[in-house]
Amino acid sequence: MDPLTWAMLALMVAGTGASAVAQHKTNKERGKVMEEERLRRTAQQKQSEAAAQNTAETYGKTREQEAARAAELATGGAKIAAPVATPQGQKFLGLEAPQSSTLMVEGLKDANARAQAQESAHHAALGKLSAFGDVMLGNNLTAGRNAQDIGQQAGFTQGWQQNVLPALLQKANMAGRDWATAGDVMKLAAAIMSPWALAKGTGANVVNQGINANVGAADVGAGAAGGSAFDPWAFAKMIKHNAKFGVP
Amino acid sequence: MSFGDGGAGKEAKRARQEEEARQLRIKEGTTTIRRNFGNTFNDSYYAGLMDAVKKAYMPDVQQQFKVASRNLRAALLRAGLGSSSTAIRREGTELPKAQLRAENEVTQRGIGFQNQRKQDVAYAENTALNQLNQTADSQAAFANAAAAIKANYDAPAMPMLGQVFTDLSAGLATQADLERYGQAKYNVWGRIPGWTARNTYSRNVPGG
Repeated sequence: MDPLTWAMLALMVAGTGASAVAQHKTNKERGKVMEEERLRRTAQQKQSEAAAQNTAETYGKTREQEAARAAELATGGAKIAAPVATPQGQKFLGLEAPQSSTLMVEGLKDANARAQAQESAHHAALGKLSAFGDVMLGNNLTAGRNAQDIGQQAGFTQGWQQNVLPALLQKANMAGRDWATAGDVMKLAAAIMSPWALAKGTGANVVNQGINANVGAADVGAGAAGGSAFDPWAFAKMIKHNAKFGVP
Repeated sequence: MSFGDGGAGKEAKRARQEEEARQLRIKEGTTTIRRNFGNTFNDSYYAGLMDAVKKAYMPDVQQQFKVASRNLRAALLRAGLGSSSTAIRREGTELPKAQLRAENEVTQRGIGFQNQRKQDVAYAENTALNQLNQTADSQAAFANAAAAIKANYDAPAMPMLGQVFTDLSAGLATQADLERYGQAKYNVWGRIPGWTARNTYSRNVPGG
């Protein structure tokens, strides 16, 4: 075989190889970009899940917190001031004159104790009611803050996908560009030299002659004129002819 | 030999740097804004708000209590009940209960103000952070947050308390007068075991 034919074949093989390397490099770079994106998204998703989990746990503790808050409110209720002993007698809350009568003093003490007990019970009952609202307010504020964190993470992911990811993919697409260009150049060179390489090569002439013989000289054109180049039209006609007459 | 990438690498690097810087600004800004709000509206702030509420309302409560207790004492004395079980019940039970209820009501108002302020602060913080998330302009967000902190710092307007104590002496004179005229008497002896209660009434009011 002619050296030119060898050179053409070598260029074609090298060009194809370069294209494969180019594709491989591009795929590899794109893969790296997508892996980074996946890791970033996973990390942000984990943070969002942690925030959501915190919200769920906060609401899950509502009952305990409500009980604790109710107890806090109950103990924080107002207290009746104890009577103050004065030389004139016992001075009770709201009474300007001290009480000296034992009957009155004891009666007022008992009455104060009853009042304190009743009002403390009333206050505790009210505290139990308002404790739920207080705790839920705290829960809602925590949930709002966590929702904000989740939104921020989503914003970061979105920002990355909109602002950075396209540029990174564009860069990755260029990763095999050198090899692809080299492959294109080699294929172009092979294509340019192919008429001469195939014309000089024995095998090419044999092939063309065989084709032209099968199809008929009158139909073959360039192939019939000297068989100097491979004629795809002639080749197609040969295939058709063989199929029509059952030639293997 | 390199044919170059048409600037794609440079552009990718720049896009990465810009986005990372943007996200860093937002993260740091979020931390700063939350810290500023948290440092200002902390537990001692809300305790101070409760104190302010008590300072605003308690003198009024105490003044009203003083007037109510004086009126009650005067009514008891007018009815001749100065040293009576009615006096013990009214002055020993109802009056202190009204006082406790009024004080607890003030505390409830304080809790209400605290909760409202917490909501307002959360809303203001949320607004500042939303602005930061949208613009990544931390300085503008800080300015907005500072203005919101200032606007929410002072104690809220506190409406007048109104009349806290209802008329504790209500019905005293009426009951006493009726009993003096032999009306509206109630059975006392019948409640004691072994005593006959049928048609036996006692005067509850001296001079009746």
